[in-house]
Amino acid sequence: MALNAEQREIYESIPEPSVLTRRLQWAVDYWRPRNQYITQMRDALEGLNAIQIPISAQYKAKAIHLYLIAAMLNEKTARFQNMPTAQVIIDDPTDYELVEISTELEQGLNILAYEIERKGDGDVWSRATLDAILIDEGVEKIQMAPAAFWKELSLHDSRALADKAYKHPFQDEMREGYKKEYGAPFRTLYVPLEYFLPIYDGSNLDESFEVEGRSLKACLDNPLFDKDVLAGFPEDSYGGLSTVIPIFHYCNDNYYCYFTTTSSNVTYNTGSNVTKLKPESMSVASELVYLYGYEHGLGRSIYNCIGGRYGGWKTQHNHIESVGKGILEISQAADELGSQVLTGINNRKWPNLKWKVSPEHRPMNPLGKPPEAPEVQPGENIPMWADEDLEPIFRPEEDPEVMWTMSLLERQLSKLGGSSVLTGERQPGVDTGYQHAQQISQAEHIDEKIEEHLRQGAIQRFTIIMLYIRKLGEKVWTHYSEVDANDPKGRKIGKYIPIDPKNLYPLPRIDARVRKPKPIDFMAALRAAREASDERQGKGPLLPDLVLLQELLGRDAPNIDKRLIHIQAQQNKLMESGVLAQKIGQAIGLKLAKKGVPQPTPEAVAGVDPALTQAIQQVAQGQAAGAGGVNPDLLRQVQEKMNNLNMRGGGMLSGDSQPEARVGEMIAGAQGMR
Amino acid sequence: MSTFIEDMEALVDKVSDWGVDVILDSVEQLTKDGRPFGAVAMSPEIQMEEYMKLHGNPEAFVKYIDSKARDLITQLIEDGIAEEDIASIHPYDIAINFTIEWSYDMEKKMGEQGDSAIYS
Repeated sequence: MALNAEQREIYESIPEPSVLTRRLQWAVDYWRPRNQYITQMRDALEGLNAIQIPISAQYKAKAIHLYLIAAMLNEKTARFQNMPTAQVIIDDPTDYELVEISTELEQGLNILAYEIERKGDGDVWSRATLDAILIDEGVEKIQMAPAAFWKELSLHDSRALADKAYKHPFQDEMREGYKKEYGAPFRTLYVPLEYFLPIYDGSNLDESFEVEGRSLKACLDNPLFDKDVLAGFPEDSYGGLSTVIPIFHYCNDNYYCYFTTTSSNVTYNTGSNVTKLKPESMSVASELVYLYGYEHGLGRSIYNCIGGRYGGWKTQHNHIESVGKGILEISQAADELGSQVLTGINNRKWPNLKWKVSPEHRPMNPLGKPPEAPEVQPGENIPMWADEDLEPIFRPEEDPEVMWTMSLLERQLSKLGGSSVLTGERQPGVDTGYQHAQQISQAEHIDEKIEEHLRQGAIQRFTIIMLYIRKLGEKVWTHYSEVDANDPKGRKIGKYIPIDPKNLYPLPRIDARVRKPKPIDFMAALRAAREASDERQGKGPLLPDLVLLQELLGRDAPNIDKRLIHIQAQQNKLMESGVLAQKIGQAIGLKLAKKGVPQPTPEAVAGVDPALTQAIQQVAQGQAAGAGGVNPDLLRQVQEKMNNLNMRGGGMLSGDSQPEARVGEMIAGAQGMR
Repeated sequence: MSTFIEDMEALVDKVSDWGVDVILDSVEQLTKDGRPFGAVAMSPEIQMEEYMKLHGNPEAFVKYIDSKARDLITQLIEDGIAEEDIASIHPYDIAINFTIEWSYDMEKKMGEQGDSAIYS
């Protein structure tokens, strides 16, 4: 193992591989019950649970998975946002400067929440939310990688660091321009919970391992990995694509490192073309081998554990297991009942027929077998003797037990997973919309814990981002597109919003929204907001608008809302005041005065009464001088005509400006200047 | 960072810009291919008769142009338009241009009727 000085320093800053191997072995064993439970839940979600059906019967059995867990999960995940929204809490809402900074920070963080997913593996928050609901915890890993996302800048910085006399500092505008172009150097990756093996000290996440199966090709392509270590793995016939190398990501409060071990010590799930690590049954026998590491320096883990209803897995058992097992059992029973019902329907609707034959008219064949069954085509008539009969073996009959059992299962499932009123099912005795809404609201209480824990997870996500920016020590730019709050026409503008590390000391308090209010909630909030902002017979409103907008209506940037309201109010006032009508009248007058005015041609000027040309010169020097003057081109033409006629006058008119100066005067006049 | 007052100033500025845009858009639509107010066509005989009152008389032309320009200025002042705005459209230019066109037409007609040698 040949490590450079930097890697050597990191290697020596973390526990020795032998120690880490033992910790990993412990973590694998410790989390095995959790991982077995997760496997069960994921199998049931994907409809991989086995349904016992009779092997030998008079009829053909049909198995059907009702995917009740998937249905529940669909409904539950739909209630939450695809991306959390940050809200920066302001200590003093009357401080304009603070409000502006917090609004900008909110906007920046919300763009970053999107950007880190785009630069990662996408849809991370949604997938983590799904895990949090299904197995009580979702995990994401947020990384900062300036060397990857700001490659040139990073190269420059290391060169400048090495050579103090470096002549071309990549600084100021050029540096900021580069960062604007390449965006923030962060990404987030989804980590399936079963691949995440944390080691907690109480409730504090001290260190963790993440297990990953990565192809040999990907490992060899990674310029950071120690190639000497990977040389021991033989390349397969697909250029290393079908050889899976176990990668163990070790993370503590300051370091993040990659390890591997010999693949023979790790158990895989082998499919037709997929080889996958099986965390629930894996074991690690040989020592971990260091591949690469870096100092993240956050003072906390870079993993964000997003809790579900019971707040996630701090120990190998969790209350979610009883709920999950209950759901699994009921779902299994529902699948079996569904299969039995379907089998029954199948056999009744496509029946096996029983033919009672007349022994007198259809004698037994010589081998002692009953006569061959008649082949009847659909719609065909068949003759039978009076004492014969043709009837289905299984006759349809009403079975209240099926209905009762299915209804029981559904009810129980609702209690465990959330009321079915949330999926639109109307309960008996609930007639009005109000009662229905009331029931939905009650049913939602069961999910309030999920929402609260997701919110905490979102706060942690934004905290990690802010800690990274502080660690980076320079501005991070985010590109933002929004409706221009200052533009009454509501045009969209794009702008860059910086997140300045200076504004992150002390670390701002963050709140987050993970669920969009339903229209009915919004209506209720609106009504409450109106009541709270009533004048109350001169006593003033109960709450200020800013608080109502932010806390009751959950608006992201209430100061922008306020500004828009002011603009709208002033627009309305302006419209009502009649000023616009007056201005329109004036503009029409001016435009009409100019409209349709002929532009005399030289021929026309030459053809007018000479008395008129004299008059024009006189007017130009007299009355017109104080009222906008006369076009110099026209005067020149008039002068030419007079010269041709050998009349008095000629030359530049006394007191008149040069033609160029006249143009300037015209422009000044048009702009309303003197 | 902007204060409330600065916000309000910006608001007045933006809204007035918007108002001007609306006015210009509206005027553009309203006056498209329109004809000037007060432009009533007279019969050729009356036009000639009126023209002959000015013909060959510079002072009469001066008075005519002045009265037309003054009519226009008065009308615009009645509409509440400021004098500097009125000056920007050069009312005397407008009056002169109309008079030139009129004189040119009338002179042509007179030439066609054989009276074109008056000044030769």
